[in-house]
Amino acid sequence: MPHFLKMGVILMVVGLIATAILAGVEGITREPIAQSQRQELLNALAKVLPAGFDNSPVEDQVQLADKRINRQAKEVPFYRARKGGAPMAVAFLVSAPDGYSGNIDILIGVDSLGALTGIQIVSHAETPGLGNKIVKTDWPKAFVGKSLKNAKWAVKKDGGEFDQFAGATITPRAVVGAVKRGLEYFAENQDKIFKTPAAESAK
Amino acid sequence: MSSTTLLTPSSPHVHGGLSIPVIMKTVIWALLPAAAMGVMVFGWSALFVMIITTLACVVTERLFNAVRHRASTLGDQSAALTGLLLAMPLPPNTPWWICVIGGGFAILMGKQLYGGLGYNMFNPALIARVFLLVSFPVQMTSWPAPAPLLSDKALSFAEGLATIISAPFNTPELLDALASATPLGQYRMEVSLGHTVREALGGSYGFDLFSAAGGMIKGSLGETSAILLLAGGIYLLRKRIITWHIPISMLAGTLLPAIIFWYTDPTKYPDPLFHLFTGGLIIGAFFMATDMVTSPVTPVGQIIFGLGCGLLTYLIRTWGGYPEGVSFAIVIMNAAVPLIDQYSRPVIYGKAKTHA
Amino acid sequence: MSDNVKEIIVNGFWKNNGVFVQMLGMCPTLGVTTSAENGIGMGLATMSVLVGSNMVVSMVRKAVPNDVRIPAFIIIIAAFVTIIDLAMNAFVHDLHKVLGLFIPLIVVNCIILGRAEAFASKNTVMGSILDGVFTGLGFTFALTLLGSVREILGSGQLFGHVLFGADFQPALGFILPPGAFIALGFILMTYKWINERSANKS
Repeated sequence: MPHFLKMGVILMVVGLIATAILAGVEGITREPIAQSQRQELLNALAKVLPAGFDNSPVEDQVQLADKRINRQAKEVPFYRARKGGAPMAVAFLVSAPDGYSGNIDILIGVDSLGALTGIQIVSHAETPGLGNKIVKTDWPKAFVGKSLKNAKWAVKKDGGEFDQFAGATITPRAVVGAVKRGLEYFAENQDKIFKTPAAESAK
Repeated sequence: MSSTTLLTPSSPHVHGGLSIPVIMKTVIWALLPAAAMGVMVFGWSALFVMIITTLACVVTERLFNAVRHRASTLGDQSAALTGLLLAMPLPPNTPWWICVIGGGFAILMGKQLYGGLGYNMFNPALIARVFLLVSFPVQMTSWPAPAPLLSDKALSFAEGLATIISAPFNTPELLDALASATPLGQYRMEVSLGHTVREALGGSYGFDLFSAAGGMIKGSLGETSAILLLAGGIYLLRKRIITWHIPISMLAGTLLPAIIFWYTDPTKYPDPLFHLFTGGLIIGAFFMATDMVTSPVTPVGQIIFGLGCGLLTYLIRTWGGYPEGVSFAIVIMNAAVPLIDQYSRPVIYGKAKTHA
Repeated sequence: MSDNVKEIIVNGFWKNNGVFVQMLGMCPTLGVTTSAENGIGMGLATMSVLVGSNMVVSMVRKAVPNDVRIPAFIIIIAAFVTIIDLAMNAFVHDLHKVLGLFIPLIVVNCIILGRAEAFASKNTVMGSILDGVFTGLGFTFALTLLGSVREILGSGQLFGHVLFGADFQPALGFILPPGAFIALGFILMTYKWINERSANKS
């Protein structure tokens, strides 16, 4: 056997063994990984949805898209919570494109009357110690119970009612704006959001 | 070596008369009018800030000498100058412990760890300011309104002291109440909201160039009085401590793009005089970029360096993450100095020009 | 304990420490050490890969010819990194989310290829495992130390516990990238100082 062929075969054998082992490991970990990801989603939903629904919002989801929810109008899942079949609340992801550095993704929960049941910052890249106070403090709690009608949707500096932080106005302003746009979308499309049949393959 | 031997020293044989302590002292004198104006405009706390940073620098220098078993280098006056230069761009009521950290950082990290005066790569005062700005953004961007001494808004000596004194690593309570934006910060914020420059700076904010040039605006304790800083700069030019190349090219580097953008859209970009008289452009151009250790040697190199500083300042002010960019711009260009020196070396007499 | 074993331990953990002396693996060292917890997590993940790759490389060292040993080692290392990546994702999901991007990058950590090439390819399986454990522990120690220093100075916390009360203003610069370089510099200085002192004594 020529030298180069021998080397190639040896490498191939090493590669094959490695691949076989990896395939095995992937098989073992596939279920736990899916489980953890699902648990993560459930934890987040539990934080923004009100208690008392009797369906599974993860399975009862629809994909909708709008420019107000994220700038690229990508489809995002709407997780619907119902009680006895009647719409109770919905949770979906809004994205603020105008944060201090990069997008801020916020999971918001809205009840059927249009009031917020909770918001959670899912991902962001804001400055530690300044903008990241949106996750380090209980600032998001101020949103609970707020609706388009009963709140002035701006930070205090701009004449609204939400706190900004010393030295950081841009981040809270972006979050407030994005949540407001999400509420507006919900107000206009409430029927569509609750009545569209659930997507078949809810993953 | 025997002391009786006659030695012919190597050139240069004629000494210009300038020594390091003389240079440093002259620069301190040139800074003092603007510093005094800072105290007049912002009250006693500005004086305390200057004293604390200067003391912190001097003490750090002496301690480092002692730790390394070296003779004291306080005589060259450079530590005192670093302290004063560090104080100038600080808010007039910076908490005392930030002043101490800044002074210690400037001397230790900015100068002595590189090997002392002459070996440092970055301007010590500026590198310390950049460190403070990224580390304590809230305190470093809380600007009080002017409260001139002898006016009825003025704080007493004790009140001035109280605005900067707190437990270590805590913010004095008085500070929170005073926080607001400088004209540059105001401009950036309002324009990002879709307002025009006129709306951002006129009206309720009451910005006018006359008070900006005189120093009666919100801002750091020693950067605001553009006219006195300009006078100090001209004094340094007259005394031949600095040459015109860096200051003029740095001002041009900021003002040329400012004129171009202002001409294309005056609602979005403020006029060049705004850029000239707010923030730290003038003190940066005359006192900080011209630091002999951290600027290029040849006139051509100095002009490239100055243009780079000015252009970066404009870029950061207009599109960057911070409203003011002078210190970042100069620190970035400091890093480029060895490269600039390499490519701006004059051709030695008698040597043919090499075409690379 | 035989001298040989003792030498492996002392070399791996202290005398030839991957971070302090060899200055390898700087990307995770500077990148993830914003807190002590991240440092310890990254260190242990790297150590698991190191032990695995050292063991297998040593096992196959006679079967793999010299010409293709580097690509073969890389495949082995990459396989272990993927295993650790999947296992962490499945069983310590939260830590995996924090370390995220840096886990796959363990592949290019030069400490691992360095130990495979310099030690495991020439030594017995048991010796290689021991070397992997203590080099890995040395790396973990370095990252945890750097992470602790940065967390204390930059967030006023250690392992997530607030140290100085609510009004304490930490120096944010230390959890930003420049702080990593400054803190590592001072740790290196201390390391050299300790070694110099013990050399002077003996």
